[in-house]
Amino acid sequence: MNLDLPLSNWFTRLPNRQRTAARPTAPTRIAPMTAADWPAVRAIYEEGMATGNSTFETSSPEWTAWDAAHRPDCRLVARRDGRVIGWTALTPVSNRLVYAGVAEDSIYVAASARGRGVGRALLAALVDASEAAGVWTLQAGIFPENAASLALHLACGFQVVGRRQRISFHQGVWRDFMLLERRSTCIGMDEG
Amino acid sequence: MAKPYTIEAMQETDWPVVRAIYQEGIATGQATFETAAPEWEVWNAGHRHDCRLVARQETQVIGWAALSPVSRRAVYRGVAEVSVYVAAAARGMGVGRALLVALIEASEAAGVWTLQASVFSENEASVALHLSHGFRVVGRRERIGLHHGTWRDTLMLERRSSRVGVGG
Repeated sequence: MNLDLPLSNWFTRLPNRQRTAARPTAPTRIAPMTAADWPAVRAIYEEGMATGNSTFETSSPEWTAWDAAHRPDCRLVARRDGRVIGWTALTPVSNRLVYAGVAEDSIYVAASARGRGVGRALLAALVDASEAAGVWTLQAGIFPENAASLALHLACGFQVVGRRQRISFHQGVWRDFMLLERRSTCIGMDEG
Repeated sequence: MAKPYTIEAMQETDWPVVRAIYQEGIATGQATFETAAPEWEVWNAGHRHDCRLVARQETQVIGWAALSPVSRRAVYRGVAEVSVYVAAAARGMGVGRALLVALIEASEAAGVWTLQASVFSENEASVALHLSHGFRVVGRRERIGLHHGTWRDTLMLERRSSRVGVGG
């Protein structure tokens, strides 16, 4: 799969209404993340944390910890004018072999680039990359208050599994999250 | 009349019997995606060291329960996944219920705020057991894993403690 496509190529996958609503002003490209992208990736992660609605984490890790926690494949960035404006990656959900094809997604868009379809382009590319890597189930844990992320995931084929009640403590509050999953229809279909 | 049994802490010396009971559960095809019981070192590394229980009838272990962490992330340190297995010969005597009750108590004493369980949707006995002890269904995971040639669903259940993890 060629990930280095103009953003408009990703939008051809979407209904017209969304395509016209979300077209950005400058060309955005989705490309594999490299270690050199880490400072920008980290800064965008911290911007996401600062919203209070993206993750239970309250401080970003060093590269080595982040690198160890995420699958080495399926790491993507969105770039505009050479600048990283968003990223996405996968975390394994379990060490157990039966869940080798189940992974949790993270997706973050720079504050200055939100509302222009960057998240949608990243998630669409992540779905493709994950299926190319043999992942049959993508899952996401999303705060119920994060309507934009819920809508983004639902638009990319995720469905709501259910609500985890007060699953963790975040800045003084026990918070719920919504568990969503996207079961591939092209990977993990063979039986036997 | 069945002989009485007690719920006690699991000892390392219980492992051969614990493993045999696990293997019996695996053989039912309704208990777990796993198809072979691991060696001690693997099992020991995969489970919390606290909250390991056995049901003992005289000297014989007839069931066991333990917890696995669900994540290495600190924010989920109080979330754990339940395993409960009862020997085939001892089923229908309330052993699973007694183990689950004791496991819930031990987990709350250990600071666990959420217990979760992933149960094959066909395993109605296990679903009913969990529902009768404060678990609720979160939802269905569709074709989440391959088991003996079939992609199978699980129901995810959770029990949120009302005693642990309630402070501000």
